[in-house]
Amino acid sequence: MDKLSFPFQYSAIPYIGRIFTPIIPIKLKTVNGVAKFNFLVDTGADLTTLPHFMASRLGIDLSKEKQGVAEGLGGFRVKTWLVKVDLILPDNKLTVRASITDENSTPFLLGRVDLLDVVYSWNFSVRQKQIIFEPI
Amino acid sequence: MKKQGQKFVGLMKRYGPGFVAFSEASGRVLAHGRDIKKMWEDAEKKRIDFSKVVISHVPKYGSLSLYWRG
Repeated sequence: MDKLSFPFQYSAIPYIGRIFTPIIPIKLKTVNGVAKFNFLVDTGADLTTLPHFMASRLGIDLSKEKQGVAEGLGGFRVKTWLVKVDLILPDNKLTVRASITDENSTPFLLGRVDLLDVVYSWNFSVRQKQIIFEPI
Repeated sequence: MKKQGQKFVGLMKRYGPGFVAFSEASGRVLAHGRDIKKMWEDAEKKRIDFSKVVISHVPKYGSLSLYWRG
């Protein structure tokens, strides 16, 4: 596996100004073909997370998957299912354990499990203005 | 290196919070919805080629600028 680099992207937050936002494009194989999705690289997320509707787009039958509960900021809870998702990276395909939530407004989050803990180091390089995934 | 830029400055007000499918080549938003399901239905209705778009969550606050080098 080679090192992967993704250029910085930026948001502008009211009263804060311009800030770096760690978003990277990752392909997923859907029933409509392979498409790119912008994932937020979230070191605070245990699992890669997707909204409920994506289960049907990825051909996942949730009735056969293990249910759980995820808790977010402020203690809000959402029903989830633990699934496996194939992430198509520029030079690699990885199967990661992921969480599908019970609602369709969840953003795409890239979590630590099966990525940061075993496959890649994540380096947010300010000098190069890139997010670098370095194979362990 | 060729540099492309894309700004979501106007998209926050128009589409946020929600999801958009934008052309990877032109940056133009081809489909949108308040949630991923509505966006997807909009994209299918318009017969969009999913291999040529990037699907992104659009937050409500702020703007998002993308810079990448081709």
